[in-house]
Amino acid sequence: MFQRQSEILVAFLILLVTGVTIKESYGQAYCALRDPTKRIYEFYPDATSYRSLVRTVDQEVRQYVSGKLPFTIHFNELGRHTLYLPVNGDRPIGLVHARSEAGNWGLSEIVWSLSPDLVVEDFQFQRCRSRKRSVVEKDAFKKQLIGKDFQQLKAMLSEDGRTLSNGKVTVAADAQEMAATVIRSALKTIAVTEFTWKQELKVIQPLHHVNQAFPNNVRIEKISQPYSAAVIETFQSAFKTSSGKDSSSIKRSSVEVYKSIAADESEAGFVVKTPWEMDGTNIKLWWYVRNDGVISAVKSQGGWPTPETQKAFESVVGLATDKIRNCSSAAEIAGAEVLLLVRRSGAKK
Amino acid sequence: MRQMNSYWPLLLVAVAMFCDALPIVAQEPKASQELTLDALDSLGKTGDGKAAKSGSEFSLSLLDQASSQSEVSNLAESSQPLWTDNLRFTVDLAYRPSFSGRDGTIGGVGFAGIDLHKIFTDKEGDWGTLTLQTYLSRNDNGAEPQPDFEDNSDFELVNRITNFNYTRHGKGKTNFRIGHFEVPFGLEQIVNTNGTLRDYTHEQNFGLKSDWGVTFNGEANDVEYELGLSRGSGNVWRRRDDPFIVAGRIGSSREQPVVLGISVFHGDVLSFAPAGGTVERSRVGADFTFADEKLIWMAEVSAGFEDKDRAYTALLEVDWTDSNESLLVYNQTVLRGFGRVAGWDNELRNSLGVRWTPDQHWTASGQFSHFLDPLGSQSRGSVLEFQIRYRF
Repeated sequence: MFQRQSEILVAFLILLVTGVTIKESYGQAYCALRDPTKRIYEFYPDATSYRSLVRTVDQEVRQYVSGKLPFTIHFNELGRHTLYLPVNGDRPIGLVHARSEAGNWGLSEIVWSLSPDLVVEDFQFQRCRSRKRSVVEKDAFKKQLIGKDFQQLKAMLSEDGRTLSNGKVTVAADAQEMAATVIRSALKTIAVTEFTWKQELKVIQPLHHVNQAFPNNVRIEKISQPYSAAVIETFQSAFKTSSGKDSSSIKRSSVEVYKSIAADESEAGFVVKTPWEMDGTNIKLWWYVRNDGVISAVKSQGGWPTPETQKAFESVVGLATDKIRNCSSAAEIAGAEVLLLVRRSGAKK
Repeated sequence: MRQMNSYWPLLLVAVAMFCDALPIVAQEPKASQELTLDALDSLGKTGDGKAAKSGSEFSLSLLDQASSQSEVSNLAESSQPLWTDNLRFTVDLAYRPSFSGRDGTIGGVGFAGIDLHKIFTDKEGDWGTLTLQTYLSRNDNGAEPQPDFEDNSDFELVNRITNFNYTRHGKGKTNFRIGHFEVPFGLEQIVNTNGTLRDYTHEQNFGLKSDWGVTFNGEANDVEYELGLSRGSGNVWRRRDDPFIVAGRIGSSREQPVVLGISVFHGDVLSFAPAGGTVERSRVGADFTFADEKLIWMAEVSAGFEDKDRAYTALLEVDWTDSNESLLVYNQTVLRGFGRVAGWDNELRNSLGVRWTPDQHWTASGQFSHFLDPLGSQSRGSVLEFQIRYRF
């Protein structure tokens, strides 16, 4: 008997020692975990597979969320969580993440489909006991959320986040509490994803944009030094104001340039990410530039701050390298800088 | 070239005139004296003679190195992903004191174990999930302890859920599980009761809750299923008496407020009675769940044979939770019986339980079970159990 018990104790201690070398986690028993496999393929019928990215949602994330929202995540939401990355071959095509949200009827588990830029694409319930579930599952409500970014969703709620903002959401009066619950879940999902998986998003977002800009892309190269010291000096001189300040609104230290290579090893085009800041407006822009030196699209990550900003940047679409001397607005000057960067990075014009 | 040089400052003056008219314009943009078309050209790849450096290949494989601690710029140089990637690991401690009014015993069962969950991923996506739940358990006269304990004062290494589920097939295809798993039957398939006082009918119906073997499992459209073939020996794979179990459940999606399922069970289950041998058990069952606001109603019925005796079990449970589900109160009534030669032998038990989860580490539970009508020569009475559990 003594020998048997000793063997059991030794075996268990080995397991325990092995275990303490691993990053800690906690929460519910893991045999209860289920991947939302069915939902992933419903959201993304073109997905050939998906990858799980398990990371820790901790107090730091909780503080980040409470800094962005008038509410934060519940202690039950801390621990190791999974962001699912649906892929078509080796192309990421979206993000899927499930979060729980407390309501008067208990916790609702909502599976969110987000674009890599963290814009709502769809949602479905994994668990919900509210009788109003069917109301918010209808297209009439869903359509009001699809395509919305964090700021747009936040505007749908009252200042304290408890109720819907007047006139911003159309839903039956008796389903408004449920609708607010769903929007709170969307906001928390975006904020938690943005913070917890920020390193992964630095890989996923460029891949997504390059594949979207150039469907014939087979390979991507990241340009390691898009700016040289000489180039920065030239730009600073070129955009110097009368007070001596650089008028360019691009934060050059964080610019990223990606080159798309087609199957025949030719350059399909470029995607440039430029943080852009002016008058307190801080956005991340993705510029799609064809290899012949023409801007084919400009997208703001997470949505445009104002319709005017959107209009200004969308007017830059079609700008070509040989037309940059006619640039006037800050949006166009930014476009000119992008085109010149791309030219320096290997574009034909 | 000279003509363009002279034109450029005029353009920028025009820009300045637009400053007030356009919201997205540069602040006081004026030509700097250093700006020439030559300077502009120098920004091109032929200008300063130095094109931007071609970079490293940028692909999804960089995700393998991504973590909250590393910068993407360094990912290419990072080491291969650790085996700890996509891993959940928790140490799970619990003690379960009990008092049985049926035989007057006071005792308890303690558990110290690990709960590990690892997703295996490669460049083509997820391909498998390992779940490992191994517990060092100590029984000291505990109420209804595992049958594997040799006596009322014994250590045992208990395997709860310990299996590998191969999921490479993906997209509506069937997965393949191998290891130690809950026998797929009834409510136990959709409600996690591992390590809790609350339990469903497995132990009483089949003599075991989980078993070693293989299953095919998956979900298609709004149907989920699991069909398993297992050893029939419970916690440990045993060689004696050739036991086996074939069991399966098919049900509607558990994600809906109403869930329906049907199950089958057939096998020669290893007996832990002193005489040894196996018990031939067959059951057909149906389960039902209805979630409505704060209440969840659950029912399970099954009928079949226990060797030559007819057997049935009926369970009805209603759960209540608060809004964030930190508090659960449940009432479970189980009626079961065996049609023996001498007539029907029935048992009626009612359990009232509560579970409180104040934070992500602690869980406190209590359950009061009263046997209104005991089986055979067993006595009436009540069993009171508590459990304190800490996960970290």
